[in-house]
Parts: sequence; structure tokens; C-alpha cells
Amino acid sequence: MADLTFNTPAGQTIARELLIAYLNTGTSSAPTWKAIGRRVSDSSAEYDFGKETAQDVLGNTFTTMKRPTITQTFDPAPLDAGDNALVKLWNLAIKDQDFNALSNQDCLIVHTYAGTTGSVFAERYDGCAISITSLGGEGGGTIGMPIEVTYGGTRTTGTASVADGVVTFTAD
Amino acid sequence: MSRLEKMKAWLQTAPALSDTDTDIMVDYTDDVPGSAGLFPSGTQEVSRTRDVLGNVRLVCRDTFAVYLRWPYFPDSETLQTSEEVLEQLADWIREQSAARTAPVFGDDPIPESITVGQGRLWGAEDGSSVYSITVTLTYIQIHEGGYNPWLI
Repeated sequence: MADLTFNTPAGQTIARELLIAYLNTGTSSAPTWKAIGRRVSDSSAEYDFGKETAQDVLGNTFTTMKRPTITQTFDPAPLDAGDNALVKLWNLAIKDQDFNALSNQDCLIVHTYAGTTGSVFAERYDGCAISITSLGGEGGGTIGMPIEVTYGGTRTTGTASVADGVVTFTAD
Repeated sequence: MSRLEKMKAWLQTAPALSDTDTDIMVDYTDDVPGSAGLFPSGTQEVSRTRDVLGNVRLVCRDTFAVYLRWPYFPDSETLQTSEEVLEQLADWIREQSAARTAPVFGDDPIPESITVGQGRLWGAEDGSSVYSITVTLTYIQIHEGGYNPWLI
């Protein structure tokens, strides 16, 4: 695949909201993508390439890496009846404690800054593990349900577009 | 309804102000005992956070001074009554805020608070006295990232 270019103006930094993670709240064949991260002010996908460095008896250094394990935490993720992604996760994790379903969630990461406007780079992971790390909060505050996503399953790259409030993913 | 209108209408329902003869006026207190004035001093933006989706959450603070004019007779009973009315008004505001029965001024009612500052005798002349109390409203304004079509 040829290198992509960024569609933002050169010389400018890129706004954080141009990188969006979505949870599929529909079905695998007819996905409905809902953005995750409302009211979360700081969240990054952490890439662990499993880097191991060793030195032989001659003093040469060798480093190996693996395909990365990507995890992302959304904290505090306050509950909101209008946030379909959190409502779905609350039902799976809190009401049903359905750990099998939680470890097979369908997520989409859209890099709206990469590629051409209207057809941007996206990657779909169909077997993500989403764990709820806590539920609650301080008195007088709001109920938070921090979540941790480990992107997994089959990684499919492609492009995403948005029209009329609907995000559509097209595999390469 | 503006925050000023809402604050004015809400204070008008305070039991401690049931003897107030006229509507609470804005930026003015009549010379007639029993009148009340509400003096806003603008909005202060306390903090601004932007979530990872681009939505902006502002914590804002509005401060109002409430001026109440009552008959003034330099006897201990009248003065004590005036101070007690002030105390009742402050207690009522705190109760309403704590019980979340006060009006909602912002976009997220849960973190909202209304606090009361010191009340005191502001001045007395010609048979009437003016007492003041400070009311501080802290509320949330949410500006959705509506410019970003990717926010679904």
C-alpha cells in the first residue's frame, strides 16, 4: 500500500478529535458506529510492539519486535443515556457480566486526518476486548464507568466516509 | 429564559422574600422599604476542557448581589428581624441547591451549585436600611463539536 498523506494544512498541528474510536452498536454485517470518548479529556492508544533487545558476546545489539498490542483507556467515561456505546457496554458488563461478548467487540479507528477528505484511513478490529475497570464516583458527582479497550481479532484496513450522520467503513 | 431572568424568578419564590412588595428589580433597588434588587456581575469562565471528540465543557461562574431594603428603626428587635430574614434567605438558597430543587442554569445539572456569600447591612438612612447578600452560581456549559461530522 502506498504511503498516505495527511489532509490537514502543512505547518499546523492536528486536532485530537480527528482521531476517533468507534464501537459497533449494530451487527457485524450491518454495523452502526458510535464514537467513544465523550467527556473523556485524555485518551491515547498505547502501542506495545513487544520490543526485546539483546546483546551478543561480541557486543552487537539485536532488537526484535512483534505486531503491536494496542490498548486504549477511556477514563472516566461518565454514563449518559444518550451515549449508545456506553449503554451497550453497561448492559454487557454490569447487567449481564457477559465476558465472552465483551472480549469480542467490533471497533473501528478512523484517522480522519489521513487520506483524502471524504475517504480517510480506517482500521477495523473485530475481536476487541473491552473491560470495565470500575463503576461509581464521588458523592455529589457523576457515575463514571472507565473502560479499557484492547484492539484485537482480525485487523482490516480500509477507508471510512461519513454522510448524513452515518459512518461507513469500506475494506481495502 | 436568560440566567438572569431565571435567577430573578427563582429568588422571587423564596419564602424569606414573600414580604417583598414589588418584583425584584435588576441593577436597581427602589427607595421604598420592601423592595429588592438583583445586581449581576457577569460570567467568569473558571475552566475549559475539551474531550477527545472535540466537545468543549466550560465551568462558568455567575455572581449576583441581592440588595434588600427594609424599614430601619434602630431598635434591637427590628435589626434582629432583618438579619434573620437574611439568614432565612441564605438557608433557603443552600437547601434548594443541596436538594437539587433549584432551577438548572447550565447544560449538566449534576455538578451545578449555588452558594451564598456573606450577608450584611449595607447602609441605613431615612428610615430604611439596605442589606446585601452574594449569590454565586456555578454551572456547566457544553459546546458540542457540531462542526465535526464524524461525531456520531
